Amino acid sequence: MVLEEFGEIMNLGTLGAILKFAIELESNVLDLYTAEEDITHETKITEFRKRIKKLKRLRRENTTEMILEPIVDFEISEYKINEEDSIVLSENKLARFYETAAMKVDFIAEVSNVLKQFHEQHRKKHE
Amino acid sequence: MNGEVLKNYINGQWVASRTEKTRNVINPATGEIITKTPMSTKEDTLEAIKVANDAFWSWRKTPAQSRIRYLYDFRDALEENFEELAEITTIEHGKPIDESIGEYRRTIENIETATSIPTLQMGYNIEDVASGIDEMVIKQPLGVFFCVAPFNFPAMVPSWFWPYAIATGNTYIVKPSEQCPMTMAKQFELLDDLGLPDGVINMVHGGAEVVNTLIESPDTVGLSFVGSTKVGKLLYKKCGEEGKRVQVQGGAKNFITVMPDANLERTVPNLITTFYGNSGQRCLAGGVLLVVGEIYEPLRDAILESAKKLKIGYGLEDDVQMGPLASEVGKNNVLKYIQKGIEEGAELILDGRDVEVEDKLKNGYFVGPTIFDKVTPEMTIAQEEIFGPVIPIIQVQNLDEAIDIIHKNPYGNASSIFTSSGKSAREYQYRVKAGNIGINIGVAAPISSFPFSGMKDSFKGDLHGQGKNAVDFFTEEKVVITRWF
Repeated sequence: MVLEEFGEIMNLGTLGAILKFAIELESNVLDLYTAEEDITHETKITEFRKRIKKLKRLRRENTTEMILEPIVDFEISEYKINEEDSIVLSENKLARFYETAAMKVDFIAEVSNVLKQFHEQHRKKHE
Repeated sequence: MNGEVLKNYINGQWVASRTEKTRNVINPATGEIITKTPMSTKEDTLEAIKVANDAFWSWRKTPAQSRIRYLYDFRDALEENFEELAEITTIEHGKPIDESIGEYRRTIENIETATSIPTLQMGYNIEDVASGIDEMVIKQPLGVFFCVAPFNFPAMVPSWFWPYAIATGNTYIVKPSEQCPMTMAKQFELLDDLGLPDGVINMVHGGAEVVNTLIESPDTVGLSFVGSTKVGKLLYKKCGEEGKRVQVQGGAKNFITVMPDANLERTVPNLITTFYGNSGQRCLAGGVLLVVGEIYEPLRDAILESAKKLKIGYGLEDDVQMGPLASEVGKNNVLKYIQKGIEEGAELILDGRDVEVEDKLKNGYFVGPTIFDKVTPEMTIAQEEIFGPVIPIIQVQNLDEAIDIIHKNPYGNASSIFTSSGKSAREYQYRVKAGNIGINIGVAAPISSFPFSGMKDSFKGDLHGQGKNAVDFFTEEKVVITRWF
């Protein structure tokens, strides 16, 4: 499993790209959980779906032309989830991604705060 | 779309124009023809006016709460089709997808504000203006209004007007940009699904013939226009002669002032979006950068470095930060200004003319980020609206000199100051003659509950688009004085 949408892209240069990439990462890890067909994952799966919904809403509502500032030096490669990655590794990547993303979009506090929350949610799971 | 000719939307029906004349709609990133705009005839336009006029009395009698329920439904339809709508705007205009999303957010906000009409349209009254006599004001709709929309925000700008017009009980005709008509065509597909009464909202594609017919008709009431000052002034005069209400949002040359105490780290990214957002094709885009004092060199160098890093390309690709100009004409115009800047002695420190793009985009209308240093206020690039991704930088000694330069320019759409000083900021907002002032915000774009202002040659009329101004524009106040025996 490789992210198709961002296959060719090296950097995330816009707010929309960051949020879209986050949605894809969440979807990919969600797929990993779903594929295990484990009833104990139900709560986690619900959390993933809620996060995806929230990210979609953030993308629609917080892309505001007054502050569409370019984002620089946000390389994508270390966060991409590969076919051989375990759930733990994938979610760790997701946590690290959110940590960086929250800093990169600190000019939109509402988005940055949500990304920080998501970072915490993923970080705590595998501590 | 594949090169088909777009249809007009008249009386709740999609109808082909009678015209043989069409204009190609081109994807500005690839140079491909994607559809054709019919240059509709006088007869097409008169038909739209007639049905809008016929629909008026029935619509104005419809309770305000019922009228706005269509807008609630339309808002939901926009949210449900958000991705597709934004993509269409990017395809025909060229702006990056984030900017199309931002434009649609603004569009939706206007629909939402217009749903407050049952409150916003309230009149006022007082008892006992004389013994036993009461007096009240009723804000009534007037009839058939229309707008002539620009290419740079093909979704948002019509929404400054038509939702307020129909919510207050008027009927409406939209003439979309002939360069970027697909955006409104898609919106009308969604409107068509809502079951609005026939004739309440109509769309006629085309150019001057349509506009002249709309203004000259005795059955229309008023025009909302956004475009160039040159055309705007002509329409303003013509509307005056025909006794129409009119609001004309014209061109701009927005001066952005950076004080020595500005937060450089936060200011530079905002300046990048201010000058290069929408490839500089905003009426709120930065036009000239006025840099006060010793921050001049570090600011110039930081902007230069940031501008060089911008990713230029097809707006549908997620990493693209700046798209092409929206048309070949627009591109050539920008190139002429760059040449003019060189000839008049400004120093071109970043040349966007030779911007590199992928092979598949070689026919697109790309101009990369461009920066001129050592610009003087008399130069053409400091005086006229370029409408492209060009930053002319002028060094000034103090705030007074900056404001003096701003006031010598005929435009007054917007102006911003970047500073850490409340005193400087207050001085700026108090003195600068521009309709939209930004304090540490380069794109001073009012939200929908505020008027989209503008002064001097950037605006002709009394009432602006959006918010309460829009409600006042689309209603007239009737005074009723009452005594019962």
